[in-house]
Amino acid sequence: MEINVTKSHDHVVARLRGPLEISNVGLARERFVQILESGKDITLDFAGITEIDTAGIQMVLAVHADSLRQGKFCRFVHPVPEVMEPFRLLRLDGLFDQSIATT
Amino acid sequence: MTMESAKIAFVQEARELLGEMENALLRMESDGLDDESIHAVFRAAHTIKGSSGLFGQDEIVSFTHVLETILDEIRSGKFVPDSSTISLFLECGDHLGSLVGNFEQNLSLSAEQAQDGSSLVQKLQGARRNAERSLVVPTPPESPVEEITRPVDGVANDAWHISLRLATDVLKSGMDPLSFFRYMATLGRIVQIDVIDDLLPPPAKMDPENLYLGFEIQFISEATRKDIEGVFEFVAEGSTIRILPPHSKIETYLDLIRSLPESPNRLGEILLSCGALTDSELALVLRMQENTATGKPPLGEMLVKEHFVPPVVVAAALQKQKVSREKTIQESRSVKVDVAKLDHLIDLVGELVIAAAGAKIAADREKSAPVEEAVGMVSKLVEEIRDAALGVRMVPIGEVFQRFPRLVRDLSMELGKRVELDIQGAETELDKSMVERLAEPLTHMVRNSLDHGMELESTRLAAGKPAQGTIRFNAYHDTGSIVIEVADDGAGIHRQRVLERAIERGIVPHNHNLSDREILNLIFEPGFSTSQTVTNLSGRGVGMDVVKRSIESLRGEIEIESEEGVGTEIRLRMPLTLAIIDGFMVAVEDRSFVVPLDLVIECADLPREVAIREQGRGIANLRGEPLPLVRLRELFHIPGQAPARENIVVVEYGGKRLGLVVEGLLGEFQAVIKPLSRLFSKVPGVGGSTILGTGEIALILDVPALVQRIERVETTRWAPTSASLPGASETKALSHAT
Repeated sequence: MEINVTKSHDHVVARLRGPLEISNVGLARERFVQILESGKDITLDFAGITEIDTAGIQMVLAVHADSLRQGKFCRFVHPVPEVMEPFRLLRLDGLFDQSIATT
Repeated sequence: MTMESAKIAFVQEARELLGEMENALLRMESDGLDDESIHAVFRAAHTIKGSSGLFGQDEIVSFTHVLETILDEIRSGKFVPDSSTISLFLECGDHLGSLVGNFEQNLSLSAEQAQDGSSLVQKLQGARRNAERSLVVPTPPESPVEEITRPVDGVANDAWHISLRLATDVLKSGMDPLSFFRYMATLGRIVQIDVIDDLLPPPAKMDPENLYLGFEIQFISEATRKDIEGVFEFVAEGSTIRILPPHSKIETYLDLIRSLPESPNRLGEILLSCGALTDSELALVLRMQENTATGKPPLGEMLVKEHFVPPVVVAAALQKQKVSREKTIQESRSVKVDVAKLDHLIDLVGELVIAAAGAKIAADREKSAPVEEAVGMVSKLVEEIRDAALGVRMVPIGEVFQRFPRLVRDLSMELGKRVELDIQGAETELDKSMVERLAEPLTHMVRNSLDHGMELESTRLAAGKPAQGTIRFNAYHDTGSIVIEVADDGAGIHRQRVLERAIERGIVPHNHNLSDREILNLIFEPGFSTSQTVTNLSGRGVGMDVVKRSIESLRGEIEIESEEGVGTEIRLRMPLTLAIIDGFMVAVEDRSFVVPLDLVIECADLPREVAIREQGRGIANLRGEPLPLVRLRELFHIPGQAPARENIVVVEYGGKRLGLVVEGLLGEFQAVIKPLSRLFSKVPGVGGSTILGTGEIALILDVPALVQRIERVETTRWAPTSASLPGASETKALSHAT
């Protein structure tokens, strides 16, 4: 699991790569905490995700909720089919904003 | 429960279910269709499908789905299977077994398995189509169709409502709720899932491996409550799982709201948003919640009071609850334990037995009454612990017998013979490790009997025998051993043919002088086979010699009796356990020997007038009966002179007695059997060794081998005098083909 972060003055784009699941969600959490500490709007780019399980989904939901709590927005973009299937199953596919392109 | 232990539990359960399925199918085939068997087959397929879905075993799920659909039609009487369909189901069971094996060993589907699977699916669908074509469709009755109306007091919703608050460690245990939802989607349609994240902490404060999410699900399905509950079986512990049937009563929702951690208003919103309740229903629930916040009577009481359900339904529901509770209680009475743990326990008990013997010797030296008394008490308890520990490993031999109905069915079909299997004594217990190791030799014996012993129907009829042959299994306990008999009413062994073949193969010379029993025993010679044609079943030269070796390696004995035209019986006599025995210790000079206590009949002084001839052999007169003797000093080449006074230990095995001439009787002793090294494994008359409390080693005598050896010598050298010995005249004119 890799998270490549690109920052601009008010916006962070985090590109997620590899599997996001129970085995590595602890490491991902540390990176997400750093991103949230920046206090900026966040875009999570799922294009590089190869697999995601409930632990992974729960993690990004926590990021999403915490971001909203801070009064910032958090967008989910570029879901690949491996991501879309579980999100759709949980009726969370509406979280993806496919109209927004990452920068 | 970890993922690995859940997997082991699944594999074990699947194998048990497949065994039940096979038994039920065989019953259906032999006794015709009955509801119980049909349900058993359906239940097995259905449960395997459910559990395998949880582990993402898509091949098993999709295959069992096809099978289950047809079984369901049989259950509902839409489709009546014939014997070919039952054979097909048996093949499906085998295929499922191989898929379960894949999962167990982390293997992927082989090309051959894929081919088998798709061919079976095609055959199943073909069988179904044929049945549809042949079915006469009944005209619908004139009477009005029974209308199913929802109860007036239930909610409008047609869907099941499932509320999940799973245990927080469920993800750590390797379970992913997504897999449950994917499986549910195969049972029906998930209308809505609401993910409840109210308890989800911010990332900085969360343990990301805990599950904080809840799920409210609307699910339309024909499945039963039990089916739906089955989906969550592996995560039920520590979880709050509420399953509300379609049109559940308002009170049930009220109860749900009370049981969940979120606030009533928040839950009301959730139930509204996922469509479980309408606005007005929600309002009613919340009003009831406020009114009955305290002092609410139990739901059942309220239901009866309000006359929501007819009394007969209540009675039925109560009975069902009772049955289910009884079943749960019964299940909780037994615990599944890893065999490795039991082995470890037996090893420790073995060491304990040796240590206790050491303590007893030390106590004897002390000559202190309190110490001796205490050690005596400990020894008694150790003995009880040993028996109890060995008892835990005892399993019914039926575990190995249960594979034979299928084997006999398949082989007799393949050979075009009609054979039934008669099993008796399946409840007889012996050590688990023995049961496992007996499976292969017994299988070979059954194959042999079917292939060579059993005649074709026409031959049997011509010989005036019943058209259907019988293979009989019997097991019972006898003097510290278990006896297993495999008998058939087939053609028996053709003695002349056995001899001819043995001579042809150079196993015996032309000018042989073999007794009938020795001729019969030739079938146990390596490479011996009298089959005229090599078949798929046996007759490949891997024959009864392998069976004999396996049995002997388990300290067992194999005997054969056969009468031409009448049948053959093979009798195995096996020890009950391979771990510890009660022994009787004897001495020659300073060497100790252990005789299995079960085989000791009595001890006596050796009369002075008895002459021990060369090689330590002789015959004593024991109350008028001749008793062959063997002196251990000569048998084991112990140097020195025998003392003036010697003792006889009379042992008996398989109806034959033998006197062991020893120089000291040391008493009873618990012997922990230690295997002999290869160097000693060929020493005649020695079955194992054991460690004494002093740390010295004693040999355990192999009484069966000694009895046999003496019997052999007698028949060649002392035949005239030994004719009256029990068992010495049992030889019959028999022959056999392996």
